[in-house]
Parts: sequence; structure tokens; C-alpha cells
Amino acid sequence: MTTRNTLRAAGLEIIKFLIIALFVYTAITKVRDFEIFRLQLDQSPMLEGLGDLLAIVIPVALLATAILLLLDTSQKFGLNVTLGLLSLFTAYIAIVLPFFSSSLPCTCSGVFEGMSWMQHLWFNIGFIVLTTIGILLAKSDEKILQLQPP
Amino acid sequence: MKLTKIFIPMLAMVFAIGMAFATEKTNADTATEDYATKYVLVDSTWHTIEVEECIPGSEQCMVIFSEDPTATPYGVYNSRSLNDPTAGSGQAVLIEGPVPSN
Repeated sequence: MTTRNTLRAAGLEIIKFLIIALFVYTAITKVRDFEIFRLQLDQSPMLEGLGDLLAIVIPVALLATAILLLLDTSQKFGLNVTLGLLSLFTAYIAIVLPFFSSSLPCTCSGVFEGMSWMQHLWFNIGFIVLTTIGILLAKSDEKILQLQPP
Repeated sequence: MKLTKIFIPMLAMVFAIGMAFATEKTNADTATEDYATKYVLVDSTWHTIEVEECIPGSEQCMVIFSEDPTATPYGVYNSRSLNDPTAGSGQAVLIEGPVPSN
């Protein structure tokens, strides 16, 4: 394996590490502060009445995605799911931010508690960029594996 | 390489789980935290509440009451005046109990 390929593989592992750490950490803190998370979702714009459902669906989706990334065979699918989830969260923040900035409760928890919604938006955009790079690296990783003799 | 591919994601999981519990506030931490007397306006009447220090920020500190079925966020004030809002992050702090009533 060339140095370039080793760097690609290392880059992909670092990106997977960051996404898994973010998703598992977020899911656990949401479950830990379940009641607050549920109430905050319930009062969030466009999500009224969906707090009970989303408070369960979001942590489960985050943990399931982390497990997909854990397995080599499902990492490409996991990265695509990650991109989908992050795009969904980011689109929601971007839509509601200009209209509800003063009343929108922050559902951030743990070390992200002090983040403003604007910082949260940029943080998510950063992870979308990272995930996109990860998808591209996973594609080239696949091609290299196909080219390698059995 | 195969081992690294399993080991690094597993390390991420362990790291995240550890971090999640490391940032958890213990009961002892909560007990020693300063609670401040603040005010909320409910149905045009001022009520006194005991609230943990709001996270400093550019927005108003908000509270929601755990027994409020509508989970309405109420603005927090330092005194019985609408001109004296308590600064916060805009994040709602959960207060145990029902919404204060007359």
C-alpha cells in the first residue's frame, strides 16, 4: 500500500472516529437528560406534539448510525446515513433560526450546552463537510481494494 | 490494518461513553450549586421561583415546569419588573413541580 493510500485510510478512520464519538456522546446525553430533551423538543417550532416520539427516535438513530460506521461492511451506508441525518438537523436549524432565535430552546447538552444556535449551525456544517470527505475517501478505498490482487 | 479498523471505532465509542458520564452533574454537584430567587410572570401575576444560575448568554433565561402539560417556557426576571430580565442562553431550565398559580 502506498503512502497516499495509507493517508487516505487514516483520514477515513479519523473521520469515522469523530462521527462515532459525536453521535454516541450526543445519544447518551439525550437519554441521560431525557425529560428535559423531550420537553425542549415539544416546544420547538414545527415539532409541537412530536416530543415523545422524537426523544426516542433521535438517540436510537444516532446509536444505529454509529454501529453502522463501526462495521467495515456497512461503513459506506453509515456515512451516507450520517450525511442525511446531519443535513436534516442542519436544515431544521437553518429554517427556524432566523424566525425563532429568541424563543428557540437549545436542545444541546453536555459539552455543547454553552453553544449558541449559530455556533451549532456552523458545527453541523463542519461535520457535513467532514462526512462528505469521508464518503469520497470510502469510495476510493473501495476502488483500491477492488484493484488489489486476492 | 484490520485490527485498527475495529479498534479505532471501538475506541471512539468508549471515549464518547466516558465523556458523556464525565460531564454528568452528580447529585452532590447539584446540591452544592447556588440556587437564586428569581421571578416569573404567570397569568399577569408575579411568582417567586428558586432557579439554578442560568447559563450566561445574550438571551433571556427561560424556565419550564415539569408538571406543565403544555411545557410553556416562561421568562425569568431578577425582580418583579418586565424591564429586569435575567440573562441566559435562551435554553429552558427545567423546574420540578407545577406552574405557580394564584
